[in-house]
This record gives sequence, structure tokens and C-alpha cells, in this order.
Amino acid sequence: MARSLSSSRRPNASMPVMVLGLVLLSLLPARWIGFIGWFGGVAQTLLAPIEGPVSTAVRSLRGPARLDDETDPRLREITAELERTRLLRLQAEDENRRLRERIVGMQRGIDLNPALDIRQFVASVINLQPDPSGTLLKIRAGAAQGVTTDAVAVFEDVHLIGRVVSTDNLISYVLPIVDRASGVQDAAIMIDEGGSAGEGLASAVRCSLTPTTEGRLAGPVEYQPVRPGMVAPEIKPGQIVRLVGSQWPPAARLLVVGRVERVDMATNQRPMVTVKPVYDLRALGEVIVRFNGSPDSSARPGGAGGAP
Amino acid sequence: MNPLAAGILAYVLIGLELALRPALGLGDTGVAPSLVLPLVVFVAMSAQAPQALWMGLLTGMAVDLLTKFPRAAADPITVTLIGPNAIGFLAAAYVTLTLRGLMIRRNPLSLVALTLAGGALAALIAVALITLRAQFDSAMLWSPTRELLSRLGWAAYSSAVAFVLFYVLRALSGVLGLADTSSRRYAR
Repeated sequence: MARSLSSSRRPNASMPVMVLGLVLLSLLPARWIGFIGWFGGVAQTLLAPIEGPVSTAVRSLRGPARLDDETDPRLREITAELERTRLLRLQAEDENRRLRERIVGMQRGIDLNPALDIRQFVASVINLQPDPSGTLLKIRAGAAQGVTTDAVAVFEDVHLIGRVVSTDNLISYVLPIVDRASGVQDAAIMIDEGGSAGEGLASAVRCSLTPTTEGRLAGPVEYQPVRPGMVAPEIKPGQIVRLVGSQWPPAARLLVVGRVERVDMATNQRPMVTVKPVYDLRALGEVIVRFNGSPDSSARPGGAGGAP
Repeated sequence: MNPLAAGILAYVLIGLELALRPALGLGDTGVAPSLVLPLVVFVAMSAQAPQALWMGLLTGMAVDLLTKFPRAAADPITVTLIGPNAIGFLAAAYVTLTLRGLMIRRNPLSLVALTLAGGALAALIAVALITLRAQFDSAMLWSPTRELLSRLGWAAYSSAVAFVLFYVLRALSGVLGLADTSSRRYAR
């Protein structure tokens, strides 16, 4: 009995070799094991016939899950339209400011920035990854569609979901903005989001946001010197936060990161804000992929993008 | 065991696991169950040892291949690691082989308990391997404590799902070539 048990438990000699090989592979430098990604792409393609239809069915049953309290669909539609209009207005203002600076630069004989050629299209979300630590979002659009690693994924035209960090031929991986790997984001809290043109960005308060472990972003608000006769900007929950930092591709500028969820006071009496994204990225069925369509784009397919 | 049937079932379960993950995820924690881990444990409860171990290893490799880890400010910005889950699932199969003699195979709670034990061991091994890697790959964004807690939650959730999955797997055990030939009701 003991003999048969022990012999039935003994795998052949290839098993220890395989285990040793896997341990070594999991410890080798990332540059040396880049070829494994290709096998990952094949595995992904093989799974698509099952994963795709079930995933679509599950998402269509759930619908996009907003993380704020807005439940009235009509009001949500109006709010979405309003947010789109605000984004267009803010981008026009920003473009105006940029062009003014460019004119000044050209008058000095310097061409500061090439014109932006932003392209976008809708891509369905395939899913997250099976590993418990996997946080990247897979979308059905890849290098074949022209997606590069400077593309950003947005939802409802204005809500920033994340940045494309790796592209295969038909699939891309999006690093969510709330992922720790996204790093620090420079953002603006819109104090007067609905105000007249020109006041929106001018009255915004800058902050540096870092992803937290709870799917939020948090960070200190920049010091705002208050001149005599000026009212200090009031930061309160519900205010919209937009991305303004230059760490992200130009296509992401002024997109909505989320809403202020909480304002705390740090020990140095500087406000610390916690920002909550408007949508739960795990429940999204499709995203808009937006990228710079100009041929001189420095990004290249294959997952070798720049630093976040 | 019928390797072809087991392979097809693993393929279907990984696909379902990926598709259902957003729906089954626990709030902000992102903890979602594994459907394929209970299969590995179920196979290891009845199959011959080499088959059970290979099943664990290959299924874990498939999970590894489907996962990219983001890296901070580094080239390449993502990396696919093959090994942490493969060795983890292999360990889960091994612990099942070791403990199966003490379990009543017909009882769904056996699958639950073994999935919990195997999942916890798989979590520990995967976290240990990636933590070791993170020691000299500073671009890996890795917090061992948080990841271990998250993965232990994953093991617990997977073991809960194993209770339901037991009846599906038991119904398919004939196709898998794992049919229990014993006529006794409480046979081990």
C-alpha cells in the first residue's frame, strides 16, 4: 500500500526541472523575459471566444456603475451632456492660452509645440486579469488600429479611465488612473466649474494626487496665497477634479479625474483632498481610446512607453 | 483522468472567471474568486499524483500568462511573470494530494477546506516569489502585506465558490475520468 502510494505520487523527472526553470524565469530581469508577453497574447486570443460573449452579457446586465449617488437616468444624461460641454469650453480656453503663448514664442523665433491631431474611437472592454494582483484593463483595440502607448482611455468623452501602457496586435492594456503605478498626477479642483468662460481654470486650485489602495486618489492642495480683498477658494466634496499635469499625453489634458470625496486638514494646516472617480472601471463595457494621430508621435507599440 | 476533458474544462473556467470577475468582485477590494483553483483541487482529490501536479502547474502557467504587472517609470512598463501562480497552483495540488486521504471526497466541504488550504499556500508562494523579485527589480510596484491579504481573501472567496462548483464538477467527474468507483455512501 505504502509502496504504491509513494510510486503513484512520484512525478517524472521533468517536474523539478520545470519548477526550477519557472523560479528562474520569474526572477530574471524584465528585459530578458519580454518574449513571455507574446505567449500571453496567444493565450488571450485563445480565451476570447469564451470570455468575450460572457463578459458582454454580464456587463449589459449590470450597466456602467457610477460611483457617485446620481441615480436618475434623465438627470445623469443631462449631467453628462453638461460635462461634455464644459470640457469643450475648458479645452478651448486652454488651447487659446496655449496658442497665445505659442504666438509669443514664434514672435521670438521659437516653435514651441506642433499642432495636436487627436484621434479617437470606441473600443470594447474585454476584462481585468485573472491574477489577484492584476489591475490592468484589457481593451479590444491594438496596434492594428493604430493604438500606441501614448493613448488614453476615456468614458463618456470626459471621464479619464487610464493610459494605454502596452499594446498587442488586437489588444491593449490600460493602466487605470487609480493604480499605484500611475504615480503622482497634477490636477485642478474646479472651484467655479459652472462659472463664466475664463473663470473655470483661473479659479481652479491645483493639487498633486497619488493613487491610494482604495481606488481613490489623494494628495495635498497647493498653497494659494490670498491677496487682500480676495476670497480664499473653498474646497468642498462634490467639486470636479481635472487632470492638468504634463506627465500624461496631451489627449488627456483637462479630462475629469473624479469628484472631491473628502477634504481633511494635514498637520501643516494644508488641505488634503481625496478624489473618487465617477465610474467604476470594472463595470465599463466600452471606452473611448484617444491618441495623438500625428506621425511624429514618439510612442511606439509593444509596451515600451515612456515614464508615467 | 482524461487530460483533454480536464484541459477543456480549465479553459472554459478561466474564460468564465475572467468574464465574471467584475460581477463577483468584492467592492473596492477587487477580491474576486478563482473558478479554476477549485478545479485543480478537485482533480487532485481523485486523480493520480503526476496528473494532478501537471494539472496544477499548467493551469497556474495559464493564469500567469494572462497577467501583466505594471512597472513604474521603467522600460518595459509592463511585465508578464511566468512562475508565481504556476508554482503556487502546483503547491495547491500537492497539499491536496497530501491531505486527500483525510477527507471525504463526496462531501462538498472537503473541496471547500482543501481549496482554502491550497489557495492560501498558492497565495503565500506567489507573494514570496514576487516579493523576492521586487528586491532587485525596483520598478515593480509591490506591497507584500497588502498583496498577501488580498490573495488570502481570494483563497477564502474561492473556497466559498468551491462549495457551489463542487456539484458541477461532481456531475462532470465521469467525463473527467474521475468517477468514484466506490459503492459506499461515505467512501473516501
